[in-house]
Amino acid sequence: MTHVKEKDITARKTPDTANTLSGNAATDVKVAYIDNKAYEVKDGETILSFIRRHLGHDLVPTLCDAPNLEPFGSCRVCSVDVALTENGNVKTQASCHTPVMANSYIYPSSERIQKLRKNIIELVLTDHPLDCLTCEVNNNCELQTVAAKVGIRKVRYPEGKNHLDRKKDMSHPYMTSDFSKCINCFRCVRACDEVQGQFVLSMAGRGFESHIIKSSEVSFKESDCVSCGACAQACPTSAISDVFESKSVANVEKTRTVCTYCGVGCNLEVATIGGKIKSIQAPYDAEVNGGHTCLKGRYAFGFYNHQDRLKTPLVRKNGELVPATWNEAYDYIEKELKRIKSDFGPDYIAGISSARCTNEENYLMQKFIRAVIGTNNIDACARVCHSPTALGMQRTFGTGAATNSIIDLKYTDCIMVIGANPTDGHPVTGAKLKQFAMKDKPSIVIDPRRTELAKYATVHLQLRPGTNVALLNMMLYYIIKEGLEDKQFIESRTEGYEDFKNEILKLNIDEMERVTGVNRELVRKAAIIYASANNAMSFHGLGVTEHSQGTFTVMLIADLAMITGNIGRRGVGVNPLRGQNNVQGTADMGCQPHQGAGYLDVTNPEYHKKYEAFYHAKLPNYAGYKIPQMYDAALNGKLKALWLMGEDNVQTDPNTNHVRAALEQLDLLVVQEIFMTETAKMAHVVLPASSFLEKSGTFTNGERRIQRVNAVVKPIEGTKPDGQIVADIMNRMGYKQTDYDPKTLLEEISQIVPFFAGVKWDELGDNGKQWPVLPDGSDTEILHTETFKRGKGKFAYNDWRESEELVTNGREFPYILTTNRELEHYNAGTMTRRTGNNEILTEDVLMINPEDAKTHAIKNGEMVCVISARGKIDVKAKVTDEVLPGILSSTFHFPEIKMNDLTSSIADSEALCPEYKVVAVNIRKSKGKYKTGKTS
Amino acid sequence: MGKKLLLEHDNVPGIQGYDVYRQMGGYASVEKALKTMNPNAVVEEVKKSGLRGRGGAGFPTGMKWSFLAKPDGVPRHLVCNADESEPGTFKDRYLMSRIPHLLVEGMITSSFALGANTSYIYIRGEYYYIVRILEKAIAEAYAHGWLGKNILGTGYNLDLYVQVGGGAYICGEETALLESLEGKRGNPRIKPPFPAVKGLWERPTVVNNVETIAAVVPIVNNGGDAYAAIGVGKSTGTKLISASGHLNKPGVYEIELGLPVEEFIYSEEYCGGIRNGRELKAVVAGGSSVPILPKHLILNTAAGEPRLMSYESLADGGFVTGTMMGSGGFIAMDDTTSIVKNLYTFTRFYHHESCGQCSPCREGTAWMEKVLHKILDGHGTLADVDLLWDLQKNIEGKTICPLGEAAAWPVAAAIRHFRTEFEEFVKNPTRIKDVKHYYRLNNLPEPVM
Ligand SMILES: Cc1cc2nc3c(=O)[nH]c(=O)nc-3n(C[C@H](O)[C@H](O)[C@H](O)COP(=O)(O)O)c2cc1C
Ligand code: SF4
Ligand code: SF4
Ligand code: SF4
Ligand code: SF4
Ligand code: FES
Repeated sequence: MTHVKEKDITARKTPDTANTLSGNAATDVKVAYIDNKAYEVKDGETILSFIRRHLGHDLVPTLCDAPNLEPFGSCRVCSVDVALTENGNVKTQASCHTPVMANSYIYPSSERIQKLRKNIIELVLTDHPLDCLTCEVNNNCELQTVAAKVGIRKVRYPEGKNHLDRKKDMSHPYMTSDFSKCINCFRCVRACDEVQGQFVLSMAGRGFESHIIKSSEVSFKESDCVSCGACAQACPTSAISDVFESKSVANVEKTRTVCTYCGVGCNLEVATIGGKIKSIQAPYDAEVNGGHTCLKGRYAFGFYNHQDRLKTPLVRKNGELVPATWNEAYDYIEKELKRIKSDFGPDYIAGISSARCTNEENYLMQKFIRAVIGTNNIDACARVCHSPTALGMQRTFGTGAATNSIIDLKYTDCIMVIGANPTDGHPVTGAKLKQFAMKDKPSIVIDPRRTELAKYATVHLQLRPGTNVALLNMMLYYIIKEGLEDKQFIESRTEGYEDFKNEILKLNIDEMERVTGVNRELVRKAAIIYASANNAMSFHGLGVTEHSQGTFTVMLIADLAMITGNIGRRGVGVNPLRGQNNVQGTADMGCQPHQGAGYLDVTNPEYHKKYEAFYHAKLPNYAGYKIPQMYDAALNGKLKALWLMGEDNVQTDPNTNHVRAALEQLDLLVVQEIFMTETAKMAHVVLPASSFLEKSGTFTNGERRIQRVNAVVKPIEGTKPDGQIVADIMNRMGYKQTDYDPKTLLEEISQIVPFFAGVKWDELGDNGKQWPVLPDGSDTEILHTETFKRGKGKFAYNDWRESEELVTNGREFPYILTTNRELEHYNAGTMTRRTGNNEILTEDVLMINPEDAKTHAIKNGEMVCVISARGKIDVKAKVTDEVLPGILSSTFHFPEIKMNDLTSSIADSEALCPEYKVVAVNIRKSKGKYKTGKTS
Repeated sequence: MGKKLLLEHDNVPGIQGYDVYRQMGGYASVEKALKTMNPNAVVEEVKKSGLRGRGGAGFPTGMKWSFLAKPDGVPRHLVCNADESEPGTFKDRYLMSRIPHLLVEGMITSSFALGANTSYIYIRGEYYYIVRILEKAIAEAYAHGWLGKNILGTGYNLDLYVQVGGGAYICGEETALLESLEGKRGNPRIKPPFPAVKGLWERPTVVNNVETIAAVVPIVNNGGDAYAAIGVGKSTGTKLISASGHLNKPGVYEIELGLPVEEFIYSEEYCGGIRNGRELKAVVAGGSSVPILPKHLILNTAAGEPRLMSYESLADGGFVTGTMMGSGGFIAMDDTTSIVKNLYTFTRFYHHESCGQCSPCREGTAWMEKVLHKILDGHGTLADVDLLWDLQKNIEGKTICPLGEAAAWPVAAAIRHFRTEFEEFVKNPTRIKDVKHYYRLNNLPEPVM
């Protein structure tokens, strides 16, 4: 009954739009009567939504109903009187879950209804503390509001047994409970079940003794809670809340902005008191996340005013980084950049932009490197995550972005999730996918690990890491063999199919089965499920891209969509799950060496001219370095200066020793950062930047939605927004650039980026717009509806190839190590580890199959030594059958264990995205003592 | 002698076992239905019979069956409600423990009529010994080819499972039962959707009482018309009555519907009168939930007509002077009984059994108990009696499931017909200790105060 959610959100958006019909309504509209006045009825709506749609939100009080939950019917205060005919027999019905009947007569506030509501609230209050004035949710408590509304004056009941002595639970870093305030509305239980899908909360005991429990009656800390906060937001009183008292409204100002922790792009409503952030909630009307977030978005904001924040520029003097003024730092940079540019040429300078920063900042960064420095040596961290997605989808479709929207999950019949662990990596979308799979709907998971989603999936293809191409080729083989291709779609919308098909049919299935380690019948089953669904959506993550055949894998995913005709309408498509919040935007803004803002090819003479004219500058007409090439260039003396905007490459790029060696060769390393990172420690100049909470701009989420980031607080003293820093330096370098201001920058961007043509800061609204945005301001939920960007979709066959790493090192290092993320932390943990999340998840672990653990006499929780051809590290073992024998998987949120000492410099053949996901290693019991460290 | 359709062979030795049951004509309805009728024809016979649900609400069974959604390819289920937990009702226990094959046979014939291939008997936990009896009967039925694949070579398949409940009254409410059967907490569901559309595992489902399903056997064997010929008006066929309380011969009786209440209480064929030669004071005619009636109103309607054991006659006069057939739990009380204390027991039961979802029922049942406790503790006031009245009025019809009203009705009727007894206790608290008799239930928790 998803319609309920939609209805309520609209109801809230447009209250009081009473469109009363005249007494004798037209015959083809269905009507029902509220207090004997006719109003139009919509099919399938409840009495409550009917009343609220016409007469506003406040006429009928509710307690157990919530905008993002299914109707439940437990509080009964929404009761109304209903007669099926005029002057007919009146019956009391709960309006929140009773469908409205055409021609019925509804009396929402009859005398007996008012009396009933009063009686119910009176009963509820007999078991509720009467300390509203000191309660954290005073003035924002639904019970308080409803009680006032129904006009309770005194409670007639004598003293009796109650539950006011229930103990508070303060065990958890975030979640709290005080069940003396519980009114048994089940909203928390339903939020946990229906929104998050975690099933932590339940009602135990019967009747008057019923009470909320966490897992099997343990504290929040000991429970399976993933701290999403949905229950706290749903609870109408303060019975479940959080340490930030998010529902308290005393002296609070609210600002809406967008989460910075992943590409889902959840909207956040940030409460501040006196210019300091108090708490965060999720707006119910957010199209992306409708009242939901994960713990990173809702609770992990404490880093922003952490004592470790960088608050002054640092300049290296006599080998040491010492505090300096902004002017001193800029002087240093200006001098060095000018020197290097004139001594060696602009191509000896490079910049790496950041997917954490806003579109406007990324745009400025690439403009700085291109128009001011005069080189195309600009890349971004997308290189190490989704560059193969952009490239692969561009090759097949012409556009490197998600074809559809997350809302399409409501319309799809089948999901296929490849190399992604969305319940940890993209939690809000992950929760939706999990809800889908949990309901037994057709779902396919392709992953070497038995992820949470895999446990619910119809089919889990648990392949050997590095064999995506082989497995997808097998799927295509079975689709063709079973005759499940969408011939009409292939005929009218694609090219290259015949050759592709011939190659696929030549596949050696015996060999593919052997290398992937997946039973062919299972692959066949998955192929049939995907191909025979009316509408099937695919999702993929870094388990696809961070491979030597990453781009080819993306192209095959696109081929699967095309061969089955799953493109260009609701509920289908290829949908990359973007890692960082603004990966999409960074690429859109041109932070890559071969394409400028709007993906125009910098080597194409026409576009080259266009850019030169637009920037009023001389630009090179050849592509620049990709990130790995920058390191090689530095090692070969071909790169002298590198500018990093909010990147910790030393910790996050593969093969740490290689990266370190490269950076050590530089004459100038500038790092814009909010904290002192391993990379910043190596810099010549460190510039203190403001975090996303302190600046405005736009982020573009994984479904191409350009959303407004609004400054919640002023920049922490001593810091500047990254965009302002870049603008300052542009001016220093002699280019006239106005100060960082998203509105004016968006105006500029809309003139050069074709699909931003109609984007205007003031028109983005609360929920943003999905590009392409046409000049008239209308946006696009679904791409490629009529034709592909490149005309026809292009099928291209590629053979599976074993990763170089395994070919070279596999004999000596027989285990395959892959990497994964945990919900609680974000990448290197620079931010999340400075929040309460660190109390929830405290260290990295290596997953190891029980068989392998036995072979090496390793017990759960013991330290293991992991050795690759490049280095060795110690990490704690988690013995689990989530990985198959021979496969290991590790998290990488705690850089002190130095996971990237193990990884190789091998990268995707096409996009040069590093192969984090396949490392040949060996293991043994650790000999040394593990040193736990803290980030400095 | 009244006609017996269900308990006809009750006294035949060995009727619990398959062989005797079969000798007595058992499983004939399965043969007849599967071999000579199509499912719709069976439904038609049930419609014709006028059979009404014996679980309490008295809803016409044929009509319920015809509401069952029948989309192709979606499995359907028949679930037998054997949760029998209403105080005063024990007829299903009697039937299942003595003639288990009658229920198994009814399940097969009914499942065939509904197109169900997997059916369940959901039985209350306290009936663990009956579970063994039923499972033995089911095993025998499988062994003789009445269950399983390709029954009687007709191609019809049926598996029948017994699921044991945890001992909650609320799990007798059909949607709570389905939740429980799915392995969840037994909370009633909001309706719509009704089980006929979205029941067990969201599939179309019919829930019927044990006795209802057993009655399908004689209906199919003898035809719906023959069944409808028994009884009066819309109360057709026979009904099992669980008679308890201060009667000379309490027990389970099969009566033809329409039997005068007076005959049922006083005749030798049935209850044989009030024990110890005392006066009848009041009767709860259909299980603890239905309104209690004082002697003059249970023997005759307000209009002076003899009251009959039928759905219509028992309900004559509405709740002002009438009551309900309910599940047929007939509790008779003599003149030594305290209605207030009796009510207190009932109220404690409902408080204990409320699932706790709806605020009016969760808080209201607790408060009804607390206020009654106060009165019986000697601290009551007249205002408390009014508060009780107000409480029950705001529960009735205001909740997700009918347990709320089941809890409210006894309170309303006790005050309506016996208000003076409440007032007596309020004014003269010393009288409370003189109470000799009242309805007691074992295993209720400590009272709440
Ligand atoms: C609180 C409550 C308890 C119930 N307990 C039973 C029960 O134990 N057995 C039963 O057959 N019906 C019980 N019912 C009625 C069922 O909900 C349902 O109406 C019945 O099983 C339908 O079967 P029938 O149509 O054959 O009567 C109960 C209803 C309520 C509200
Ligand atoms: S915080 Fe989220 S996961 Fe934890 S109990 Fe609440 S809803 Fe469930
Ligand atoms: S804890 Fe809050 S949301 Fe949960 S049942 Fe109690 S009052 Fe409702
Ligand atoms: S799902 Fe992603 S965008 Fe949403 S709150 Fe979590 S980290 Fe932020
Ligand atoms: S009426 Fe009582 S038993 Fe029924 S659902 Fe509501 S609280 Fe539960
Ligand atoms: S809002 Fe309808 S019952 Fe609670």
